[in-house]
Amino acid sequence: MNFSFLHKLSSPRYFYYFSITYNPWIFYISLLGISISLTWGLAFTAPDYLQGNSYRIIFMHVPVASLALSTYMAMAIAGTMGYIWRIKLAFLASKSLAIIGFSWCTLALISGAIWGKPTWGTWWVWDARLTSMFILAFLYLGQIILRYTIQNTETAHRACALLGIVGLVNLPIIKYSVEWWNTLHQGASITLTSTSIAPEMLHPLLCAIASFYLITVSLFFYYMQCEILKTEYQTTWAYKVLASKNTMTPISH
Amino acid sequence: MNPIRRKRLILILVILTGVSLTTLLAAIALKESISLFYTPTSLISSQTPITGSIQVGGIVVENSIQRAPNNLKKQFQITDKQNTLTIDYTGVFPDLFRENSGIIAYGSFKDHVFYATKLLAKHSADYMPKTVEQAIKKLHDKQLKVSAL
Repeated sequence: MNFSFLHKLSSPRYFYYFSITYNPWIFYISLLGISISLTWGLAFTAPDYLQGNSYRIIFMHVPVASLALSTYMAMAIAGTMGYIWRIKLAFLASKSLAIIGFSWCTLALISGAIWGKPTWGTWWVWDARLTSMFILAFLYLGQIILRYTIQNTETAHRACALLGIVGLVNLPIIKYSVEWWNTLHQGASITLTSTSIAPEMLHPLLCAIASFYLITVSLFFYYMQCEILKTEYQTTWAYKVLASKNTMTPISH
Repeated sequence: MNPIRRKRLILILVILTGVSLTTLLAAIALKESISLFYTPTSLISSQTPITGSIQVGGIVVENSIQRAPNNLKKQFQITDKQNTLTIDYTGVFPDLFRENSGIIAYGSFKDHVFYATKLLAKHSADYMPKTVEQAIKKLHDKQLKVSAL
């Protein structure tokens, strides 16, 4: 297999230009996907036999909750790669993903609470699924805060990578909490092999999941562009980019 | 892989294994207390007396709901397919309260009856339009008729 493409991509400059070229496409396609799947799900799908219209929050809750977990996984992998091979770009990726993941996790908690009130009869209970998801939000918050607390950037990156690995243990707990313990939250509706959602509801949901994943990739690229310029501003190419944007005047050396 | 990188990889694997083992042991030790509710079986078969404010959960038994004629007093049974438990409740049922669907009751257990002060409806992982549900029901009734013949 030829890995030269990956090697090139690990150079901040190459990554920046790659992102500038392709990311607008990813962004607009994902935006289109989200509008289509949400319109489809919210306006053109029949109400649920039991929950009526309140089930429709599924089209947003499931994608963001799923992304909260996947983003953490990606963040931990990026952190580990950075830690072992000391790749600057991997650390930056880990940093960007922490902020994106925190947003998804918070949205999942909020949308879940809004869904819980009409269906369960309560905003919140301390069951295993809700509590472990709450902990995930704090693991993300820990990443963000730890980076700001440690002055030395390199040390901060390494500390966050290790913290990310410690938090990894929470992922299987979240996923299987509904099977291992008695919880208020229901079990999984979609597994790799089967689903308990009627096809006409499942299709817009799968579209929504795909679109939310795509917009996460796009947000990640945007964050990376900023992070790369912030760390590389002393290089000639980044200096030129910043000067041409005329948004700030880099300090000349 | 060069020795320094290998050392870092080993460090990460050690951390991952250590944290996983710790969590696993803690989870096994806390199994009962992490669960949000008792099932009728775990409540009835408990070796130690269960007092104070607790939660039980189960499926509402068909045709078990009894309503008092002139107040909000209600009694029904929940089951976990092995044991059933009678629940005493005064108040309005939650919207999604149905026979054959899951509920969680908050309250206390006394003399084989659970006195609930609050009910939560657990909803299943099934989602379908009304038409599909009716079609399934029709098919189910048809099968019952066929088997009755």
